[in-house]
Amino acid sequence: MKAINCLRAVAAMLCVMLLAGCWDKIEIEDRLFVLSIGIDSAEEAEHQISEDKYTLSFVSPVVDQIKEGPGPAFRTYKTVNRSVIMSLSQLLERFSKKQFFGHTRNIFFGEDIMKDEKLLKEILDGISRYHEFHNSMYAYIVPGRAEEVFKVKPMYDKLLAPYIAGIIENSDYTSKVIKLTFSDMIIMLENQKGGLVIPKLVPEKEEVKINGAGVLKDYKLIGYLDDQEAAVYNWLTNKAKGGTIEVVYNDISTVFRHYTFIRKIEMPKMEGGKIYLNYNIEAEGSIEEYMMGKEILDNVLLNKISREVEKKIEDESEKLIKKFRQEFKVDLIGAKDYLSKYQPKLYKTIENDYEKFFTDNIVIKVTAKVNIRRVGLIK
Amino acid sequence: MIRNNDTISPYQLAIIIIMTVISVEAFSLAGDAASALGTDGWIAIVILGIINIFAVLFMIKLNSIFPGKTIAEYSQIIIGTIPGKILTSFFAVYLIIVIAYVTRAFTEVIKMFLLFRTPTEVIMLSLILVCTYIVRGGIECVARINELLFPILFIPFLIIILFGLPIMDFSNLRPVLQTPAGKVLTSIPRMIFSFGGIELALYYIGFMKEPKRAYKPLILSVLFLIFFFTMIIVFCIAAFGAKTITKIIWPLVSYIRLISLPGVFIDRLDGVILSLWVLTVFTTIVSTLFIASYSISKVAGTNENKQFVLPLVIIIYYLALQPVSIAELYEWGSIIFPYAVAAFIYAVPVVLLLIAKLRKLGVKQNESN
Repeated sequence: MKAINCLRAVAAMLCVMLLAGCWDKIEIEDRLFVLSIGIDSAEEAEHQISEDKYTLSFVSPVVDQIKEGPGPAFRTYKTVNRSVIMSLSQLLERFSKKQFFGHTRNIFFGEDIMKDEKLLKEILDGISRYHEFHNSMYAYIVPGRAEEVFKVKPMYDKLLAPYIAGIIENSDYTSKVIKLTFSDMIIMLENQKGGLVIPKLVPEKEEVKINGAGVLKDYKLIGYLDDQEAAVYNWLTNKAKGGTIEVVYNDISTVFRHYTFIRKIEMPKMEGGKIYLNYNIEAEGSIEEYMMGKEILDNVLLNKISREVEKKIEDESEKLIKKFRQEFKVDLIGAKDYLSKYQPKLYKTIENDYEKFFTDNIVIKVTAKVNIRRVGLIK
Repeated sequence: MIRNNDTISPYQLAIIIIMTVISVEAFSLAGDAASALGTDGWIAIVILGIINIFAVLFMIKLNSIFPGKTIAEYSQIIIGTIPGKILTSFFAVYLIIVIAYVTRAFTEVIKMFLLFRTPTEVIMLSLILVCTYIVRGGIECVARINELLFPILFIPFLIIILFGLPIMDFSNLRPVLQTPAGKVLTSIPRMIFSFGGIELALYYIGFMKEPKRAYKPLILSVLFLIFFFTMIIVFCIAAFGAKTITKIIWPLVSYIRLISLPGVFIDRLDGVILSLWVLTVFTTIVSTLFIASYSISKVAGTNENKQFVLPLVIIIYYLALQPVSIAELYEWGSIIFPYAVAAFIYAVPVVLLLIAKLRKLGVKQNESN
């Protein structure tokens, strides 16, 4: 009895403490929830004073229009200023409501910001220092200007921000979408000394598309990955979950859907100053599409198709590894991560000159193992 | 059985020590550990914890020579009245500085995340003044408030912190055990402050009926602290990586900010955790302030300690407002505390025990002679 009373008291106190909201005495009606932010470097024509560096665009929902209002469900506005935080406080001079960034879901970086090391570093510092931003918001790069995203009128959704965030959350089902939260971005930039792979968002008239990714080196944009390369990047960094791979077998295009996709790295040997790394990839899934009238439920056939898929995975992976080694000359595909975590003694000897070492002396071999478990509903 | 309201039970002793040691430094602990030892940061805490188990054994040994007496009383027997009083006053001064430091550090955290527009003075005074009310109630009150708040704090905290598992990548803890032993040992003094507070056992054991029964609760409480601190460090490093974490002032708060509960009905958990964390800072101040006023009463030779509590508030408040910025606060902390904590946890009990043994003082010796 005593224990029960004690539990009751604890439960009551927990309710009091956990369910108490609104500690800063700002009513929900007085807040203007900013759902997405776009950051560009300011164009000459936009300058109000010559020091202006950034153009920030914001999007907020219009609460009374969301349900059934005839008007647009969100409103966009922008400011031009010297720094992020200055722009945020400038908004207070223009709006009766107080902007609230606790529920910001997306942050878009314009291409020009990503090309300028100083601008990017300033903005990242400002955002990670400001307590109101939620670090689990998603980050994107937009080719051209980030404010273009806010001109999109989404076809199927009322609101823009949940629509875009929803696409990113599809990364569980398609490996072509790279998922990157703001905190992941900061961690990756810190660990890779300015290297980053950030999803590319292409705005169109009535929709947006996540299409490939931008690659940064030393806080500067150095190139883009296309759609397929983004998927391969997810494979190589062990971030892929679900997704589809298409192979052509006997002139029939066959679709393999994987539910799990696991990448493991091992170092079999070190010879003549070269490090040999094996990327072992293991995928498991089912065949989703073949050809009417042809049976696929046949062990020999399935084995042959798996070999095809394996070959495709290996080829694509090696192509991307080559691209990172020869074109970008930066290791964002996990080799450095592996060496520093699992071969710390070896890594210490090559740490200072790692970039050169990566391009010249690391040999990466990809071995895939594909298991087709199911073939769907028909034979 | 009617309990005398001047004694505490072994269970209460354990809770008091746990709640005293865990306070505002838990927020920054993971960052300090990682900047000292990188991915091996948790090792320093484990080693320090094991050292502290021995320190606690010394304290109990010392106290069991003088059952029913606290260090403020038996130090006067061991090294003479005047040196004993000087030692006790040093203790009191140190504890007052600790309270001021904790109050200020916590106020800065609260102002950052919760109460942006509330004046610093109001947050501090409301925190300390509530504590004085408890402290004036005496040892029984202090023990009970600790006992009451312990489950309220730790059950929700442990539940919430586990929801961070999806954002953790435990390979971030690698490489394991690659730090040279010399570096590990030299980093330990930097971490001593994290266990600051167990020296209060020198006093609280004196409030127990039989000091012999203190072994189990005190060792358990140090083990709990090792577990708790290691968990915080491991989780934070797993979530952020050892490099990023050194750039964050309060890694634990940042970690909690990243957690989102499944089926999100509360999105931002930092508010919840910080309001819970008020309780642990509150208990730290309560048990420390009680001992500070108790020490002063023993130096002044009075029976009661109530009358010293309110004047102490003024001193604490004044001290807490001295550092200009959080940078200055942390700088002062890193100058004062490693030495003070080391002195009171390790040096004082061992030296007193040695002198007591040499002078063959205490109850037991008298009986056996």
